[in-house]
Amino acid sequence: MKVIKVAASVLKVNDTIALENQAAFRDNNVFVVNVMGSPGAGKTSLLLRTIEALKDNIRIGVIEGDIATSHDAELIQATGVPVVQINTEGACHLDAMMIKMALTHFNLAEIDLLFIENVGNLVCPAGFRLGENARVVVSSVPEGDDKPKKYPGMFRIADGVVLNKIDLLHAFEFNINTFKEDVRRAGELPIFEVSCKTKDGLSVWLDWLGVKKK
Amino acid sequence: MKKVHEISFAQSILDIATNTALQNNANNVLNIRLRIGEYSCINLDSLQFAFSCISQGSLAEGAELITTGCLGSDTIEVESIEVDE
Repeated sequence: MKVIKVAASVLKVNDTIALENQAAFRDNNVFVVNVMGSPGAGKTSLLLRTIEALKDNIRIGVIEGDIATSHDAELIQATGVPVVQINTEGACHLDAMMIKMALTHFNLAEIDLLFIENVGNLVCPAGFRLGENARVVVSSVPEGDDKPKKYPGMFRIADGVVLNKIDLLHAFEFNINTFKEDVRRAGELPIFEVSCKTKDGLSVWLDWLGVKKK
Repeated sequence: MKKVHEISFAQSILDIATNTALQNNANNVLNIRLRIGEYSCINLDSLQFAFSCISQGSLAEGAELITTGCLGSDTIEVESIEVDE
């Protein structure tokens, strides 16, 4: 019997492909945002509002990750921006290889800003880099103020947090200070308080996106 | 494409272990030592189960996964493998 030292990162395969994606994005000047969050937090709504606000000035593309259906992709398609649906058929996250395959359906030279909407899940997507420039977590008032405390991994890797559905603050026992404190415990992250329904707060999010993209 | 993420990890661990064994002219992997970070979001039971399923028929069939926790980290690393020479 013999022990062989390995010291190899298990995520290396994913990370290697993520770096290839990153290089493709950089070569084509595409800014890529990985949008994560629980099912129903409002990831697609945020994208729809963002596309609505920016599409006349910036060329946007979207990759939609879902376990099943092309429901979200159809919503995006109606806005006229190019969209590719990935059906993970059970997988709880997108990985770099799935993105690499999806990119064959885009002409990256014709895109300035690419959104990747991850599978609705506050755990697994955090572990897989896709080659993105920024990672954003969408949380929402009805989910409760305890999400940053209960899913610290997701918030720790994020570059920004969107708190959606603030128009419902009066209807839920949601302590916004608790939410913010727990986000801050995960990192110095900007928190965008928005309502995709009423459009409140969206301009701050859009400004941040503009600054990050530069 | 991969299903729940433990299967992705199990596949990656299997690839690393069997490739290392082959490079060292070994034909049987007895155990695999892993360092698993506390923030890696890995369920060890699922990982072991996934590994025992996908390793069937490979050099690492029946290999035991021996895990060491790793505080304050999200790393998942194959530390070493033990092989039959």
